[in-house]
Amino acid sequence: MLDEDGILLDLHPIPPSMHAFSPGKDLGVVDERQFFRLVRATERELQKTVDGGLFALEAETELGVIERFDSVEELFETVDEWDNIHLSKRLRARLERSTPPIDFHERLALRRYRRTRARFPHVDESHHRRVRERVSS
Amino acid sequence: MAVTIDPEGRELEALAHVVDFDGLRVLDVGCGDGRVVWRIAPVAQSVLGIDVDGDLIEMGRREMPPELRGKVELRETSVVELDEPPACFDLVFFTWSL
Repeated sequence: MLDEDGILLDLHPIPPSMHAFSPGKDLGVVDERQFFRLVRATERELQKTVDGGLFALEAETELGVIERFDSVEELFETVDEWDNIHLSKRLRARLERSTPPIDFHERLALRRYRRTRARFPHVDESHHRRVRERVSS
Repeated sequence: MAVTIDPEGRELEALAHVVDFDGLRVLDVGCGDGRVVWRIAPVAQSVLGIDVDGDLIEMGRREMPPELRGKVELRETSVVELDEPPACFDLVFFTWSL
């Protein structure tokens, strides 16, 4: 799908773990250890494509972003759907008692990769078609 | 709105430093309700946003700015199931989804 010389942009969370704040209060840190194990595994797989000459890393930067919740109800509705991320009982209790807005501060990595003209010789469109067939069956 | 992601605009600021979306055919994987799509679509040639969460896709379709309807499509699907022609995108953006 990606054109030759096309760009792959990857934006994902990185350590340290998210930190929750309400006005004037430090509420604590979210447990993202399991999530960051997954992030590291994904980064290793992406690095293989670079090492294999399929992609070249051209630029990267890090940034801090805030996820702001205007209500405690919406916060738990959102956070409870996050995979591999846990709130300790203590943090959950603090969040329940806190006054909105509640800000989750997190760190992200943004990387730009360029598709190179190299090819894995055994990966072609028939391979992708077989993957799609397996997924849909 | 009860949940605001990146109220300070840091994400867009970082994107502007790293890439120029002008004229590009973009695939946004994990587009959610389209919040990043609305910001890159005005300069991009086209944007296809995909997400496996159908509720977010529906929300995005309802809230899509009218002026973008000709160049933006939001679709409920995964990147594995996506069946598009070869070399049809200039940029693939994994937003918290790789």
